[in-house]
Amino acid sequence: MNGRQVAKAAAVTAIALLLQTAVFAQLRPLGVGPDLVLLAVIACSFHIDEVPAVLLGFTGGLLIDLSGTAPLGLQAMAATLVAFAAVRAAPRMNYGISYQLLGAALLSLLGVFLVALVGTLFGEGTLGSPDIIPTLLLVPLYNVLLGLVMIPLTNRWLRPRAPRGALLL
Amino acid sequence: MVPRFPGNRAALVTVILVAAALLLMTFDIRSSSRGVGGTMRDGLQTVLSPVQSAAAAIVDPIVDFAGGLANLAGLRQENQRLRDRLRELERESAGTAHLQSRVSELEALLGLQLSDDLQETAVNAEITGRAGALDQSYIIDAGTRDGVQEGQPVVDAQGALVGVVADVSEAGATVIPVTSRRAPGVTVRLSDGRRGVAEGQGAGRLLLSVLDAVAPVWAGDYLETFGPYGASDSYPKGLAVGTVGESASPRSGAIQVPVEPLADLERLEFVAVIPWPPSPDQMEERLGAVEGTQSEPAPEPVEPVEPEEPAGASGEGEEGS
Repeated sequence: MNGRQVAKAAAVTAIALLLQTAVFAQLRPLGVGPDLVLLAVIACSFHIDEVPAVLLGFTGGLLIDLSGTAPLGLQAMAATLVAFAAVRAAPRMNYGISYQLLGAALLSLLGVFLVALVGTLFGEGTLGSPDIIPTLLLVPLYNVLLGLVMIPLTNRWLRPRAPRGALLL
Repeated sequence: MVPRFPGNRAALVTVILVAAALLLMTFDIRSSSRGVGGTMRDGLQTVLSPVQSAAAAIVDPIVDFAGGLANLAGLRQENQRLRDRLRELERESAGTAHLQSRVSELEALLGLQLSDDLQETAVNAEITGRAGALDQSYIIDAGTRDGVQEGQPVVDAQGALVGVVADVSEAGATVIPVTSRRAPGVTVRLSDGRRGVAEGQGAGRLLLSVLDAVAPVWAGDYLETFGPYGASDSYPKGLAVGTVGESASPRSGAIQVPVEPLADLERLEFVAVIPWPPSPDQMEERLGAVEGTQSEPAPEPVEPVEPEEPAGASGEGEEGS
């Protein structure tokens, strides 16, 4: 792992933020949109070191907080914990894309649930919403669907390349 | 030599970041999204607004097409509902035309004629973004360069209250929906003249509280903004807010019932930001216009009209906004 990979992961998260706030603001099937920044954090955390991963989660979440009106730090906290869980699960994600998608679904569910739970504790009333069950189900589902594209691309871009001439040795 | 435990280090960093996030949340809530958090939001808004506007221009037609196909049945129902509502309003309008002219005259004399002026000077904006999956706030493409200011009310295309402007940058702004706990409570007028306060409960819910209530409230009762009242001047008078969700009788002198917002907060595309409260210059202009009107010879003498006490407002419906 090197600084270049971390920079690439940051770029993936920044692009995800733009898509999340601009494109998926309009595309909300059944009234719920995906959490693309969370998905980017998860996908990148499978490939980068633990500390950069949690820092990436915190930064990505904070940017989402800043783009809305939810309490500053709510998404940041959830994304940090999700990133930590993702890096801990990363060794089990080497078996293939299906494991990564399953991991992305579970971690997305964890992230959305954390946002709802902590948001409720801080007075947002999210868990009491009639829409909370569809949100908890649909966000991971949409993230898996988007992960079908995003995770292979991230794998390809962030996977460390073998050094030149390695095959010759 | 100090052994390295990368896992423990990550756990330590995670704990520190979570603690920092909790502190941020506490400070942000206590400062009502102002201070450093507000400044950072404005900065990000300035960066994101042009990109969001560009993305909206590309994505909107696709979304409209897909949404139209998906919601064909729903659109028919909504069309019918709007037709019914239009007929109802036309009937009401015909019945209240005379009263409206008298009210308009009195309001103009008081320099408080707001709705028409405000509608004319409202800033139209398109919703270009939303935040997270559980954050219902909107990002609009009008900002300080268009005259949008923090705290101004936002209405939908039909004039129903949507929310208030929370953060403004030069090119965009964030709108808190009226159903959010962070939106200021709305002092509302019930159709029988009583006052109440509608407060956001989060997650798309709005709750009406009527204190010192004697009579019940009825499902479907229409609520509009009361206008400045006491220390609350967040909303001008006469904006449609919603309808009472269920009938309820007073309990211990108070009524609390859910409210169905009139604005369709899930499917908003265009909104208007109302320049409220009016600037001192606007007020002076208005007062000048009123004085000009008064100096002209009146075609017929206008009888002084005593302000009428709304029905049922005597001693009831007072709330502590």
